[in-house]
Amino acid sequence: MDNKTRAYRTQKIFRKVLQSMAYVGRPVRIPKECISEYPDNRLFPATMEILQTLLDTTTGFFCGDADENTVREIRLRTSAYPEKPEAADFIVIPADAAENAARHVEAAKTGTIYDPHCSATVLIECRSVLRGSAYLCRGPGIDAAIRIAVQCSWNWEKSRREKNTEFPLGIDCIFVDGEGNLLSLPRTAKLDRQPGKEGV
Amino acid sequence: MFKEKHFAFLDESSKKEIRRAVLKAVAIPGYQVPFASRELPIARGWGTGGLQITLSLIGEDDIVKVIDQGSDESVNAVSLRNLIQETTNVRSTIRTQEATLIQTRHRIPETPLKEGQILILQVPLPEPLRNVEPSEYKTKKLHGEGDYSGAWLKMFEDIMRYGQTATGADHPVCVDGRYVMAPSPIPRFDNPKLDNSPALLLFGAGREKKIYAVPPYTQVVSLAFDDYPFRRERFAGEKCRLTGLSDVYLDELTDETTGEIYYQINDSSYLLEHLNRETEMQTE
Amino acid sequence: MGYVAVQGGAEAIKEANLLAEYNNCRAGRAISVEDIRENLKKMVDSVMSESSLYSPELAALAIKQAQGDPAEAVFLLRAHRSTLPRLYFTTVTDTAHMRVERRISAAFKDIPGGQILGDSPDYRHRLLDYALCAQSPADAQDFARQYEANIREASERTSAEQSGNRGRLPKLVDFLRSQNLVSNPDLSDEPPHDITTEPLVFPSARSSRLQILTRGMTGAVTALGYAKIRGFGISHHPNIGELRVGSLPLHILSDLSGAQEEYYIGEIEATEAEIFMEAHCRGEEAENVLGIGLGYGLCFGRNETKAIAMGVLEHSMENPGPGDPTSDEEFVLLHVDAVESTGFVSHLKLPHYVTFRSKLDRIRNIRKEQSRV
Repeated sequence: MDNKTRAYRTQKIFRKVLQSMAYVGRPVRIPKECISEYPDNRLFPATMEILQTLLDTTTGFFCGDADENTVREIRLRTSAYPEKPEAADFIVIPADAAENAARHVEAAKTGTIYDPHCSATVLIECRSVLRGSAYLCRGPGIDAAIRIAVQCSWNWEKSRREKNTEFPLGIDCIFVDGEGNLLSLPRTAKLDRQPGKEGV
Repeated sequence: MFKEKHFAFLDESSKKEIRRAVLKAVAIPGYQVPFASRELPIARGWGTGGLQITLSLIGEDDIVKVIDQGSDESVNAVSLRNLIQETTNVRSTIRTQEATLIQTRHRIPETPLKEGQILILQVPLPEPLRNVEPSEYKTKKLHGEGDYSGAWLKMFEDIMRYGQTATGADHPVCVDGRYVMAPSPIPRFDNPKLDNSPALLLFGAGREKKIYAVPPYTQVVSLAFDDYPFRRERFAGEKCRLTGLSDVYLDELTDETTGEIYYQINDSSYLLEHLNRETEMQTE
Repeated sequence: MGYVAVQGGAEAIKEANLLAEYNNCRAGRAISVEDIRENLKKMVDSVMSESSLYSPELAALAIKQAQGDPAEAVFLLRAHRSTLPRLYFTTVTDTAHMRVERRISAAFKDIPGGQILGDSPDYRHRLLDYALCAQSPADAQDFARQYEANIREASERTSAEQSGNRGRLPKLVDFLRSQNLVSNPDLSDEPPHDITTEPLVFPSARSSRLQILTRGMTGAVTALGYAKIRGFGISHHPNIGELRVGSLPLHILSDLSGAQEEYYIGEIEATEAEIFMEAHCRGEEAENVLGIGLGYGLCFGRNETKAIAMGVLEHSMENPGPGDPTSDEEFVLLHVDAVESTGFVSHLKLPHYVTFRSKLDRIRNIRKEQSRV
């Protein structure tokens, strides 16, 4: 891909990410034409695109206990450097890494009261951001309240809640599914578990 | 030597840094995220913060509007818009409701913003506590500890001396009950438009190297005391000479021939639209 | 057909640009970029230094385009800099490897390697040289040819004395360190911050301070350095340990060939100043002994006053004194940048009628209320 096409594509993807971070809890979809194939990689292609949109030489990432191939490919495509989960700017939880996911999110940096922006952004791959366990969200970016539904094999809600108890400290989460849908929950979003499942 | 222009001027890694700062700013409403700030072909202090955000956000599908002190056609607005268009070829508009990105200096348009629009405000002095504390290191601490007694004391002193708070434009606000924020030098008339806005509001200070944000549907309260409530500029009995409208921000102008003072809507595109609607109605 | 926006702004800008162009052209003269590069070298150097972009060609072009306004030329280059991707970082350059063209010490008469006056205007009398009014390119060529011939002749006579390591000289400060007069610095392997890609935070790292000073406005850095040694800081003056001008070789690391290798990419001309300041040093027995503190200045091109003032300010911030404005890092670092200070001061020319109207509203209200009381 030439530089110009890459520049246009990352711009489009960034705006989708920004839109989801601003309008909290509303799923957005990365257009198909913005997603390439990544054959030797355990991550969703959409996750790879988001990483290429946000990471560069100055950012450290942690990618679960991912295989070497995936780490190498992220390095190659973004120039970002691998980092321990407690120091990483971006933490990626691959869809098939449920067993250690909570531990890695617990380790994530939450910034300091003086520099709350020096905190991790966590990309969580999940089966769906359109249906699954339902929550009611409130907070900035939400007109009164919004119902979200996320299908994920580990208890992200508990890990996230524990990291976000002391605003402005916290982590910001971006959920991605295999279809290229994404949904963001910045640290300000307050969640209440809703009975039943949404959209199943 | 170096002739080809890159899309949206900034190199891609500069944009990435700005984009990451914007995301953190949205996630921490009202908090000033430091960023490295690039030099642009326009001078520091002339809108480089806003412009860096615009250039990092803008894409082929956007429609951009640029205003300066309420006007789409003032020289600086034209100059910024030309730079954006020369480096991106995107469409521009003066109609607020048509724009996807609106870069502005010192005004929020009169036409209410809607979901999906992004308003980018140019900020000369992002630090609301600077007039009580010159040191950046110390103001950063005050924000971290949520210690805003200095800002309150300043308003209290104003009231003791003048009988009311003395801020003109740039009256400080509190965002989502946590951070005190400089709304940029918008008139107090525009402060209420920050509250619970359906549009995303981004603030860029290029020289001071800060980016901050008010996400949509976020509570924004202008600082005031219970017994000395926040007050917008009052245009008591004053009306726009051309439209007769009164609940808008008015420029105070002097008639060159008679020497009389008259008033006119400051938001130039709002004024035009109103006039056009009226003529249409008359012709029908 | 309704009302349309007045296109006054766009027209005015176009006309202003044309008029500026006309004013520059009406005498029918056009200076070449090459003339600027070769004849206005000091200006080219200071513009490169303040822009933090080393390119005599582009600096000369910027000076031409800015009609000789240094701040404007710096502004042009800085803006250009924002469009350039950062592909490599140079490896550490040891300034002991400088190919020295000029080198003096005010602290010692004899220094290892000797003093080299080189090309210096210091002892030239500042009398207007009217002969320059009539100087032609041919005159310049004649002078250069004659001078080169003389040098060749002189060097043939003394060729036996030339050594192979031409221009590489030992550093004075190493000698003083061996005498324990200057304390050895704590070596730091921390990679330097890059102030152009990372936000500046306070308290700042020394690498950030040095970068801001080296690209500070020559006049501003000089003025603040002067304030420091005149009285708003210390009232005794420091000594120039060593001031050198010369070329520094630059290398990058790359694995283009398959293996990680260092490549030479060229050289830059630089001025380096090591300033001796009175300081408390860590002695071997006592906690504090009087010793010599070191202030360090380095800038692109030939820019001696700036390098010296930079060394003074750098030391001042590293060793802050109570109530000393030049050791307040925010006071110094946030105000010496050419693009930032000229930008903000000049932005006052922009219309502010909305904000001014808001202020007027306050003043009128306060007056009205007060007159009622």
